Amino acid sequence: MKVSVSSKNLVEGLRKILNIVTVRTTMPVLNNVLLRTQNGMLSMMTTDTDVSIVTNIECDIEEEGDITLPAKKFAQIIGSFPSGDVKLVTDPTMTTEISCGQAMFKIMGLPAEDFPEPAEVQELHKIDFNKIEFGKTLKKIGYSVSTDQTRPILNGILLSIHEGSITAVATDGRRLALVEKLLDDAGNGIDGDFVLPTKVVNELQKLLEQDGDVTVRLSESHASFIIDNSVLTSKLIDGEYPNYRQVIPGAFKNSVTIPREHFAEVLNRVSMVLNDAGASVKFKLEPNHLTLSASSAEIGEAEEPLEVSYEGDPVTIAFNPAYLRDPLKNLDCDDLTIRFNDEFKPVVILGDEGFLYVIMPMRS
Amino acid sequence: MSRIRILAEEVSNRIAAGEVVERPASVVKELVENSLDAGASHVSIQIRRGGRSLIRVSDDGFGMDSEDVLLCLEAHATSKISSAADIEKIDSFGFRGEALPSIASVCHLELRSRVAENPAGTEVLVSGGVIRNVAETGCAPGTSVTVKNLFYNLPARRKFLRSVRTEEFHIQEIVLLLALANPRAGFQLTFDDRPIIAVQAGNDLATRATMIFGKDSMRSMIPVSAENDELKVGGFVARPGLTRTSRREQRVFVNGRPIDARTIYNAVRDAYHTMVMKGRYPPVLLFVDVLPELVDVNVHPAKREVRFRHDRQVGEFVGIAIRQALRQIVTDSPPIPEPLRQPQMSERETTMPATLLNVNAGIPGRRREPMSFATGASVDEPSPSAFSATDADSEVAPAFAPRSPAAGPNSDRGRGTSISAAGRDAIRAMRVIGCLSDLYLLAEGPDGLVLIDQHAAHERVLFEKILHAARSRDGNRQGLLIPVTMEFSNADAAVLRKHHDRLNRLGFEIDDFGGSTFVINAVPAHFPQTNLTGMLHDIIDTITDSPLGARRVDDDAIALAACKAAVKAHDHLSASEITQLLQQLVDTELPYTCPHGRPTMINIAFGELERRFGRRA
Ligand SMILES: Nc1ncnc2c1ncn2[C@@H]1O[C@H](COP(=O)(O)OP(=O)(O)O)[C@@H](O)[C@H]1O
Ligand SMILES: [Mg+2]
Repeated sequence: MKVSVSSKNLVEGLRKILNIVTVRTTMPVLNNVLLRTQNGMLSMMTTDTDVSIVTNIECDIEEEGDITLPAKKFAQIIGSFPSGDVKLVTDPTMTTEISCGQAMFKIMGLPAEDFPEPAEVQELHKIDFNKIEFGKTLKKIGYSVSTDQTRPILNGILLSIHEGSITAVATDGRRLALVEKLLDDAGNGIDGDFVLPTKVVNELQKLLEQDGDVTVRLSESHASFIIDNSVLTSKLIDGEYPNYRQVIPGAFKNSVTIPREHFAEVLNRVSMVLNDAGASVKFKLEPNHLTLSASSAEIGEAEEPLEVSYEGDPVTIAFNPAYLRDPLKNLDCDDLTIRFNDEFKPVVILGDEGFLYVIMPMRS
Repeated sequence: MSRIRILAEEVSNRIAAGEVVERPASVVKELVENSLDAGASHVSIQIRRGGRSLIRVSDDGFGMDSEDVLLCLEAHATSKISSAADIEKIDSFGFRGEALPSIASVCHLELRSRVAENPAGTEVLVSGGVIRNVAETGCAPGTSVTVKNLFYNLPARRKFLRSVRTEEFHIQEIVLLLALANPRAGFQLTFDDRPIIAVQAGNDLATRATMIFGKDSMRSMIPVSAENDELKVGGFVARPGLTRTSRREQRVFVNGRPIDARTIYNAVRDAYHTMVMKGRYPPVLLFVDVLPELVDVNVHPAKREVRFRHDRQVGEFVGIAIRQALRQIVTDSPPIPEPLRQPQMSERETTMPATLLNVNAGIPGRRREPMSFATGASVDEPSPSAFSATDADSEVAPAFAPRSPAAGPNSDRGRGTSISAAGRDAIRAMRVIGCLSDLYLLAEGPDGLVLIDQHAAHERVLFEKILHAARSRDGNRQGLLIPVTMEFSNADAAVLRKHHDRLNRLGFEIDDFGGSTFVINAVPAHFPQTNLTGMLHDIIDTITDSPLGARRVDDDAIALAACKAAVKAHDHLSASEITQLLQQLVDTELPYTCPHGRPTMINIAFGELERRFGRRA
């Protein structure tokens, strides 16, 4: 392989794919990035076998070919170059010459044949989203994904497509966040549930920053996302996602509306007296008043009232403040609506369009 | 007419019964002791409804002939002593000859006994102390005493019997003590035909203890043994860090008798000194043997107390033995030498005593100091903490001079108290320099390389957190939006059902779906929130492994189980997680040991490194 490529494009491309690389001793080739010429472009790929990402960058090809190089070291070298053209020349001994300006490196690589190819996605469905909107959806719910490895199905985001709408869901079993949207063209008749692992969601978010479209291809077992010159492919999490609809109460006795930012401020202030992840903040509701209070034996207590529109009976509900802080931080809306029945049953928070958050109160 | 009458015998027996027969467990104790006195090699104890409806103790001892069978029911009939002088050197359990008549006066008693020489045995039926029937009967050699309807004629007493479970608990404790104390005999205990304890004759103490307490529990115990001309102590003591809220698991035997011995309890307390928080008790299983003439057991009719002739010496002897055992577990140099330079500190900051950590015991080649009770001047005049007394160790093995001169065992370290403010600062000042296969953190300490067992450190941190939450009982519970469904084995399901209330009090809400299916609806908010399934399994295992079921499983055990499950999940730590872990560790009460008593950190002193690299001899 003999190619010439701009260092800026290389750096940009490597940034997108580098995170997938985990240091492994069992399969050394996975520590590498695969470089190969393909359709007049330089294709770079990394994989951890579950998730793989390919990005194609423009280059001048003098001689077709392929090689794998230690990914982190390669990125480090490229990143150190001034802007300009980088020449990559491989020889049959798997040594690659990397040169830019006066600088010249010879780096040992491993043969490209050893590199696992990404899974072929047997496309069942194909669907386009606006990148920015899709990215925001993931951000609005991503914090709710469970990290409990003993419940693997919850370690990802569910994309549930039914009857022309898509619901993205994340839950850790104590709270649940979802965003629901109608699809154009009634979703082309797609019907199915797909659970994306957290790792892919995180990588995906990096690729969704600019305007444009992302094409999602879905199969029974895999998903791939085509974004400009990159393709991210991942296994889906196997198993049946819990029936999340069941945990959303159908009707509510009470409702209260609060300005989001002010509410977040008060919540943060009041929870400053707490020093334990298991502690709660109490919400005392009376007509037109909401008082947040918290206390801990070690630090002390705090209390702050808020004017709210509330007409129901006086009631006190306790929450884990961390579970409230997350949605408050990640929403855009001005006002939140909290709906509930009593201090024991699931409480729902509504905000941005299509967003719904269910949280289980704490009780003593 | 005179008002004073001699009480009918059965009435006076019934009064005496009040002293001897307090509850079913005391009947069991008297009967089993009789069996042991009769040289039994196997004793089987069958209990129904916590002893209310039936207590049967059968043995293969030497039995009684038809005459003795009747005689033994007479007050003060005993075969074990005949003169007042004999009292001086009792080596049998019974000697007052009042147990059988007392018991017989408050129940329906059936006594069957046969001496091996006779082809047939004798059966006596007694109710309320009155012999109803005597007959020849066919039976195996040995004795079987059956007590039915205990306290049937003392309604007030009967009413005060506690629940079946409580009575079972007391019976189990008694049998357990007897089984531990009498390795020659086999024991079998059943409650309503459920096997509870089964040990074979001849099993040694370690085997017996493991069979009774479970492997896991015994793993947290370390052996103790010491002997001189007059005294002998053996058994097991808990690793530092393992404690209970009550003294119940401090089991002490004097000359084979389970005893409430204040002298020994105090010795235990002093030996652990700073390793144990106030109001906590390390479990111990101690056997103290004293020459019979140096101990007086005739203090209390229930014979739970003794008086030692040389009370103080016994206490000191036991204390030294325990300290020596504890020292064996610290197999390396001190985790952090810094606290040694700081003799004074506040009461709350108690932990592994600096001395313990610093003494070079357990190092290969070290000679163990022979016990020198009653001769060594240092023993006569122990310091209040008693640690300085045993520091004489360093004189015994001068070859093992302290590795860090400033922190040597001979330097004045006050009363061997614990991690000081300076000690905490020393931990804080450590610079983490790496991580060894996701297991150990390596740090640069003030006196060399410090290795921190990531897992042990994490366990200590979590343990104190959970324990604190469990104790405070004000814990919130976090409801689960998506309940967790769990399947258990039948045995585990039974445990879960039995302890449902207790778990509920802790903050678990568990729905029983019948069969083996349960659904968790809420968990204590202070508990780790991941791996709920694993956590519940671990808690059930802890309950099952505990010798007496959850009545014995205190908050410590639950906390331990809970953090076990949580810590499993953690392996690779990021830099910020490491910093956080160390910070949290510093803030714990006992940062140097994990809840199982293993060290959380060890220090390889520069001196040691120099020696190994041949820079210094
Ligand atoms: N299981 C037994 N096997 C043989 N002898 C027994 C047994 N139980 C009781 N005896 C006889 O009955 C006597 C009275 O027993 P007890 O009332 O318990 O008094 P003590 O044990 O104080 O002698 C004993 O001294 C012993 O001779
Ligand atoms: Mg007796």
